[in-house]
Amino acid sequence: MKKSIFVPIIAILCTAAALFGLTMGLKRVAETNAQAEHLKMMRTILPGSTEFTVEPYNGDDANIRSVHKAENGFVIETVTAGYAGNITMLIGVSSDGTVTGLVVREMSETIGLGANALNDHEFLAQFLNTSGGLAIGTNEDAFSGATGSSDTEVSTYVDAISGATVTSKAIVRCVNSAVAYVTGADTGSGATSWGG
Amino acid sequence: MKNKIYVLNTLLAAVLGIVLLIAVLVRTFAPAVMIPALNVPNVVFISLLVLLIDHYVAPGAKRRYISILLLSAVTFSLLPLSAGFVSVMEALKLALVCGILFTLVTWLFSSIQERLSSGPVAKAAPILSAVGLYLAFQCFTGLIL
Repeated sequence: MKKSIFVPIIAILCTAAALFGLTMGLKRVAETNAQAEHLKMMRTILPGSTEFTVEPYNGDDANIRSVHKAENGFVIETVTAGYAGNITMLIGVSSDGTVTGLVVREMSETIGLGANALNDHEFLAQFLNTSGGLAIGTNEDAFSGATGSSDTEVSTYVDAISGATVTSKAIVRCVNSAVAYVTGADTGSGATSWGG
Repeated sequence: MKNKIYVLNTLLAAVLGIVLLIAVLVRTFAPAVMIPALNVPNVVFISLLVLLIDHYVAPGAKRRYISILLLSAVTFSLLPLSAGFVSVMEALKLALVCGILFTLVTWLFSSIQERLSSGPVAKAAPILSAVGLYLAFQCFTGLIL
């Protein structure tokens, strides 16, 4: 009877060994495919770009993880805290500071709420052709002067995803940080530090 | 099968192994696809799936919760670590959290479906228990996060 405990132990060890072997065997293929997909994604969100070079980032903006420079702009990888975990994004910004594309790469937001940011085209499309200074709100907020912060300069209001304000604000922060990097705006100023 | 006590953990290793195998293949050949994290709802889903299979493969199996806890902790830490999805520290966290979670789900599932299995919904008891528990954990996760 006691020998039967070895059955699950052997099953666990064999499965672990199989997974390890497979992972090691496919490692090179996985890296090649991941690099190719990453390059394809960057070319998509920064149209007209071909080659990228990694630029070192030594700034203070904790949202920016890495910067890829192309001939016509930048693709900035950002990581910021969402509702249920970090949200990783790639944001394409042209040399004149205009957002050309963005994509969410990793997130663990609530399914049906924040996770909709992955494929809510209406929400994501709001960011295209903007130049930073974004905040969650409505045009009525702009007219009424309701900005939420006395020293904030907001140029464009975007609608949040229903039921996912925290996720929406996180994405706005990422976009503002990316544009601020390209335009050289001080992230400590009201124009770019507040996402809503 | 004379001794069914450890069938549950064997099935857990098999099911989690298949899930991680699929994840490894997706990561290799479709890197754009976002692989779901091993979070509370997903661990509960896997646990309930394993419990459902165990119910039909080894009905009436006794539960030794200490063994279940230890073996499931090892399973949930070693397999994702072998597949390269977590670091060593994250694997240790998974061992603790998922081990306790799996044991808790097992106890709840066994208790609920035992109550239902003697009533008019006896045939549907395992599936009803599993669905109810999954929804309950979804709500619970939403409350504590």
